[in-house]
Amino acid sequence: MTKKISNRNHDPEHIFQELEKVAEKFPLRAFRLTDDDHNPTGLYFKYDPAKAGSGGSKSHIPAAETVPIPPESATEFTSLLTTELDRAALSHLPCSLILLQIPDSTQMPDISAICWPCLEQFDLLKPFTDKIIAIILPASNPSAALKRTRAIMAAIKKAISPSPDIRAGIATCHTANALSPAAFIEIAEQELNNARTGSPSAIHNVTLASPEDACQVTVEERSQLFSIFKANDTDDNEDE
Amino acid sequence: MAKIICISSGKGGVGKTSLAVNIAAALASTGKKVLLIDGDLGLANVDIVLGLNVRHTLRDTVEEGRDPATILVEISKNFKVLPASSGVPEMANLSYEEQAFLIETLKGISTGFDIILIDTAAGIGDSVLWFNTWADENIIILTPDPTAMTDAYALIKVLKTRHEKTNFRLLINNVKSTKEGQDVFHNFSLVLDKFIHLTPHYIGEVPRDTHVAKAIRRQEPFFISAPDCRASQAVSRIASNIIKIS
Repeated sequence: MTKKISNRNHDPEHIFQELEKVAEKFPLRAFRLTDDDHNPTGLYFKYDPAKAGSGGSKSHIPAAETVPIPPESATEFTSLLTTELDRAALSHLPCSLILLQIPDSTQMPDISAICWPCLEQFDLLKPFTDKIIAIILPASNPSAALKRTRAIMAAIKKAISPSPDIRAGIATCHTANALSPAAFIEIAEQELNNARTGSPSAIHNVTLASPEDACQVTVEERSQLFSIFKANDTDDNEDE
Repeated sequence: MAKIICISSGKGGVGKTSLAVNIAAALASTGKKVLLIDGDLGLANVDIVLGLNVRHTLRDTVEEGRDPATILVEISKNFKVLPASSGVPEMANLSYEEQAFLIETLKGISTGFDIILIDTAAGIGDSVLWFNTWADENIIILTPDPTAMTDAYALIKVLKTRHEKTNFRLLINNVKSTKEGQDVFHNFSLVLDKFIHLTPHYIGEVPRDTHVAKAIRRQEPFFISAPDCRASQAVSRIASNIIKIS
């Protein structure tokens, strides 16, 4: 006699839902990993000290009093992050996201101006809420993201008197993760929440997956590098 | 303080050593005091391109602590060479301590020079990476062919990803025309920008020139033996560009 196994048991959506239900009973947060077409490919579990401290139910961390960003800005931010995550998938380079909680007494334009000199050419700084700035660091590994965060925090502390308490959460993903922008933001938010429970000026960061293949030249890169030969096949003129 | 400029390529055989020697000669001809370090520690070629018979090399410094000042070879008033050994696998795989010792030693002899050029080995081995990390400027040489372009791209990607180097200058060698050099640079820049967010600088192109191969066989710099040839003129322009950044 054979036991019939329901096809539903092989459905990733069903499997992930079941695992997420189990995770809710533990101090864990679950993040969905997806492929390029947003199909679920895996689950990422992260220990959540906030859930641990409150008996595994609700977070005891007082949420920052923040005003959500206007929908059009949120869409723009998600769109930028989607572009950078797509680029990371093509290049095999990591992508980092910094969420920085700024002091209550300061205005977003002032902070942006202070942060600006610390950023590199392709970094993208956007308001995330009225008290949190988000900085996308394309092609940046955890060490570069940490260095940039420290530089920004030092610049803010130097510019504002008395020296404010700033907290930061950093998430770095490698292409193997294939995270959705929403999941990536959620991970960075969780790091920022962890930083809020830590000592003054705490920085919490998380790196998802390993960077083993981060330097490998991809098929897409090669294809673009060689495109010049297709374009120049007929051009054989030499300088005199 | 001397400007340290690393010359690398990823792929071997793209003319790196020949160009390093000739660029050094061109820089020296402008009055700059130039030291050319053979950074291909296990398979050195600078001494061969210059027709030198050296008895002491950087191997003596690393293994016996010999003062590198006693190894220096004077090519002309403003141009000195620090030769390396050939056929010594141990030199191609220095330990972390040996690397640190060598860098400190090289810092010690940099006084008195305006520009230090390092001709590194091909590939993405340890010595290539730490010489490039140490340098102030990184020149990457490539030729207009798929293998050289891929290897140059891979080297840049590794230096950016693992060593946070972001300032690269591209030299396109063996081009059939100025336009080809500029086209290759333009396309290469687009790929670097699109995939790894890098904007390289163009340091120049060197055309195909029969004087180059002749000079290598005669073991002399073409910039000296054929100063008016197209390759020498191109090297002269590249030297001027290097002076601007140093």
